[in-house]
Amino acid sequence: MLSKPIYLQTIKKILNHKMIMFALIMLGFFIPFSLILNPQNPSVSAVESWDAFSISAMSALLIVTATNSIGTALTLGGRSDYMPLIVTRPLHRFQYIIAKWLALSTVIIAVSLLQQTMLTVSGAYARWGLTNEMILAGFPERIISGLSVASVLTMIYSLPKQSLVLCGIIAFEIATGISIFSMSIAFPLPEQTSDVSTTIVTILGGDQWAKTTLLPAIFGGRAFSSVQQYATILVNVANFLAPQIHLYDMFTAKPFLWTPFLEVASNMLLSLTIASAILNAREYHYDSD
Amino acid sequence: MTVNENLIVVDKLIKAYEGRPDLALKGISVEVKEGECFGLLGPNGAGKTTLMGCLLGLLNPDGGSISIGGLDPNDYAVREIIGFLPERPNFENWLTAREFIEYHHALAGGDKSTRSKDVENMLRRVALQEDAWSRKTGKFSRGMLQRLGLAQALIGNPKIIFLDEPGSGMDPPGVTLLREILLELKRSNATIVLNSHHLDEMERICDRVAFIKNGEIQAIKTMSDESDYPHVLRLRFLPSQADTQLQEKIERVALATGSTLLEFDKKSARLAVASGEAASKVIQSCIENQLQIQSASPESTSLERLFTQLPLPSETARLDGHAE
Repeated sequence: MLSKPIYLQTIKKILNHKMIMFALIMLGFFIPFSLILNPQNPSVSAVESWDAFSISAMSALLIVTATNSIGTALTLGGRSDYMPLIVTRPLHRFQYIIAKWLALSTVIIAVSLLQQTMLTVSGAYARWGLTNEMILAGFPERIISGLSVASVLTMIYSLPKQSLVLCGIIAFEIATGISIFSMSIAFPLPEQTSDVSTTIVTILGGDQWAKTTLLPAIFGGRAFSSVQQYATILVNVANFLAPQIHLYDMFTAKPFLWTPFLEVASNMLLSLTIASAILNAREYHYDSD
Repeated sequence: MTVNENLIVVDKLIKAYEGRPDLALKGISVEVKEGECFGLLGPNGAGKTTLMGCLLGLLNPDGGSISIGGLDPNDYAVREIIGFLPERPNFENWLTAREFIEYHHALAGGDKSTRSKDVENMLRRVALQEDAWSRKTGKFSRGMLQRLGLAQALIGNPKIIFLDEPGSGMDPPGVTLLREILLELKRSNATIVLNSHHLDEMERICDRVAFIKNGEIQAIKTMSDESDYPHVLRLRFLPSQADTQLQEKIERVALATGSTLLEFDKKSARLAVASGEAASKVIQSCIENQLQIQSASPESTSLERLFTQLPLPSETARLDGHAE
């Protein structure tokens, strides 16, 4: 099932990449240290700051991978790479995908868990008011998030052209942003709206003005419902690319629902299936004839 | 895998590329026997690499079929027995030579207990200097990369080997070594598909050569029949020879052997001969006429003529080719 050579080689490659290692060290250690040394975080609540770690880690990692993609595209022209040597080996393509996914997951999870451990041991979480159960739930949560992020990245990296890979990474970054920070979007989004921000916008009359004047003036009479539909699609796509799971909330909610877990699991499966299908369908040009 | 006499069968293969008006492959049909060394020859853009890409399952044909030992090229069982060297070795440059071959040994399903020994043997076989084994491949010259690529293709003892310009960038000792390795592979009954511009390499190694042009096979030439093809024989005479009747004698030789004197000067002569046997008669007749020959050699090989599209008129009819 798992191709051990590909798995080990991918981990070695990531560890060998100076830019990625720099970003991982910065994210894994520098940011938590700065927060440990500066425990007062006046503007952000405890839970929000904890979420911000995940997103900052993902974003920075993606910026690095995007930079890497640009470099690769420029040097190789997106045509000649070493994939033909791999896909002609006795290896099922899904084995390649699984190995890549697990290798990427291993690195992301390792850094994420180290970060979580540092914040726990230093007592930062306790100072921010997180209970022991919340902190404990953070460990498996980070493993699940790591597997999920790695599956989407694996799917993106299986795309046949460097330009598509780059588009995929940018889409992922945007999706992550929407998924995490959707509450700050001015118009109400289904099931993602923060009560506070809605209240503020409502008090200021911004939403009414947007609904009745701005949007119809720009896009026509049914503009608001169109925007709402678009926003729903956007949020759904964002949830697919960067699904969120909060284990503590999940296990303390009544009634208990498996839905978030199933959503993440199905997204992972879907990403890996798409990646395998792309790898099976795509062509490998090792040289322009 | 079942053993066929025709190990590789390509039937009416069609391949098109997006944005290109012409087909890259226009219904190519060819068979390669088990243990045969089959060459692909043709100008740049003829479709040789496309054909090889389809044979390796890297490119998806738009029509026709390929079977290797009765199986699809993408079948797992096929991948277990193939080795492949691309034209431009583009390896993971952060790996050392040893790590790179170890990686491919593992990918080829090689035994872990013998990995280190197998890898060292292979690096020695391709004569990669020992001090380069621990060097990152990113610092290798083209010739060294080519040797490393060859080691990568041969690790795991493949039964079918696809080589795209294996001698490209190699120094003369490297080319000689490559030839020896390929001949050794032939002796071990490995099937080789060779794409090369080195015509002498092709002639010495290949059993048959397909000439591809514009996505079509123009001809398939059996190399064992080479001596039966018409060619130009160049004779060089000893410089000390002061024979005033030299031209007259050589004209007599040409007439007696049924060959045509194309060019003559006091040091050499060029004769068009119909076959290897005719060439032999020319040389014999020269000796009988007391002409002191310093050397006698074909001016160009039959493959060279085929490649440069200058076949002698009588030759085209004799090519056992598939004009499509």
